[in-house]
Amino acid sequence: MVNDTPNPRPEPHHTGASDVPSTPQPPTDEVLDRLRAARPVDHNPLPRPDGPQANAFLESIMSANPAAEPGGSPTPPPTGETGDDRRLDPVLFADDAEHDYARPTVISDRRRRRGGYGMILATAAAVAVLVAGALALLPANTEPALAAVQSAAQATAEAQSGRVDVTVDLDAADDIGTGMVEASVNGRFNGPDVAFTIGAFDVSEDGATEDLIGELPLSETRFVDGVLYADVDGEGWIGVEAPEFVGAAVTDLADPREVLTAVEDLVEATEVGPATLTEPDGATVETTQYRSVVDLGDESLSQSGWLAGLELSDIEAEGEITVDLYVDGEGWLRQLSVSGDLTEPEGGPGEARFEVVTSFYDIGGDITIEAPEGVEVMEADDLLGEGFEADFEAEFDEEFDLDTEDLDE
Amino acid sequence: MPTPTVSPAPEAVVEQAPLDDETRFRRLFETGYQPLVAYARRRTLNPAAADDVVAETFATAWRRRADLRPGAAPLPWLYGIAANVLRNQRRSQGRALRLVDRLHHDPLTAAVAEVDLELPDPELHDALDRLSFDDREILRLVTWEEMSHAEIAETLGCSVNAVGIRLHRARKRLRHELDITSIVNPDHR
Repeated sequence: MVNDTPNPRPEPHHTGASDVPSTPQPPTDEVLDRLRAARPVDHNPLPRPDGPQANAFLESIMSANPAAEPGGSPTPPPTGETGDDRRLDPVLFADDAEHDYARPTVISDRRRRRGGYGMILATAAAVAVLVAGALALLPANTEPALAAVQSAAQATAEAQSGRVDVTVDLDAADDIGTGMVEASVNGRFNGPDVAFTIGAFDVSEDGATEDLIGELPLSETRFVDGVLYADVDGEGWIGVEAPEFVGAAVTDLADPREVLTAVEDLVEATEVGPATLTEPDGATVETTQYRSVVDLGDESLSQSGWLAGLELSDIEAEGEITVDLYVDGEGWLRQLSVSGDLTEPEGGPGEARFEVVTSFYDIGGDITIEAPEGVEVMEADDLLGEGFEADFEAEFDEEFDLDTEDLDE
Repeated sequence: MPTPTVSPAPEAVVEQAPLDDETRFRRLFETGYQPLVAYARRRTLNPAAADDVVAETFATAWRRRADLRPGAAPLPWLYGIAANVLRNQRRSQGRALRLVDRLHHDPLTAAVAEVDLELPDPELHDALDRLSFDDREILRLVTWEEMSHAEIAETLGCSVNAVGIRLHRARKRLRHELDITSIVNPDHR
């Protein structure tokens, strides 16, 4: 066959230049070596892509569904559809509960729509920066209220044990569309050990909500003695020795007490009055509420230089950020609520409303966080591939750059 | 035995420069056709069946061509579509296909099942067949396609970390199946 390539044993692909970060090969072991050696041997020739048969096939599929719009535009969805045609395409969206992750084009859709999610991420990032700025730049004040909240935050941060719930509620809109993030995390801590479970993680864009918790493989995560344990896919625990380069960063991120360090930067607070909080078990606790409010229109914020060194400094917003702090009779900081209602300056279409509430309870209680029994603890390199560290950093840098590009759009 | 290669030339990657749909897809076809045929044959063990998988994969890729980001490596994307094609075929053909699968590994009925590829280490293939499709696929992508974790993540539409976890589990399960095989037949080692 003139147009065919002899193919006794085709070699695996090389994807060539790509934006896929190059990750080292997985660790070698006896099973994988045996599997490599057992690769089926094809003695049939491989057809060439420029052969007549392949050419005819190529022309037939391209003529059957010609390009709707030149320049790589996607084929328009049928009337009445949103473009998410997973129900219409059984090949791309294999509707099989056992294989719900294997939907490459769903991921591609997300990446293509990154501008939309970028809006959400940008808003969230802006919120984080603005909150930090607000906490740090409130007018100087030495009222006793400030001492009360800072003392309470320090006490809670230094508590030996406790439980914590975090809820995030974010709505954002601009002239591109609308977005929403709702998330909840339940955690507990005992000394340096931390455990948490993601209770919800929903994201929507233009009203179409996606339950991300359904895609997140983790149901519970524990950090015990420097080892990360995760119950993955509900199929049992795995343990990974936290690599040095992520150890501190990951445990800080996972530790719910870290949020309390921001209170140290507060420079103003006023007492609102008594407030009753309800704990998850229905019990109530009497507290004193304190509040800090920052007006983003305050020129001291924009001129402070706090935002100037950040990539996000060109994000402008008007509105107020409110920080509510609740201190109980024993001097614990029981709840920290940061909320805001922001709009784009000069009547622009962008707006964002957010509320992040962190509640501490059962402080000093009998909290047990143990390593799961009988779990094989792996080195990070064993799990993720030797040399993962460098690739992780490269991937992180790439992601960060992408996000900042989104912000510039 | 001659050893041809199906590795695409370095330039055979979907380019970043703006190209019209047709040109991009033609380049994708040139790049991915032979690797995809080889991929499909290794899974169907039959060139005719592999041709069906390749045809449906490219037809789907053409419909969804806008999803392939400029600069992205095309093979992980194509393999991801092909995996869904294979999965759908298995589901639609149900028992009949599973029977044929078993026959593939039975030397007495191999001719009937039209197995045209040579299968080294049949015991291992038996053990592999007892795994779920997803376990098999991630193991095959690592060893037969020699893909990196990042490429597999692109293919399966999951995170790199998830690839590591799933691969770890799949290896354990395959090792378990091989252990069973060795117990049943101690000569198989």
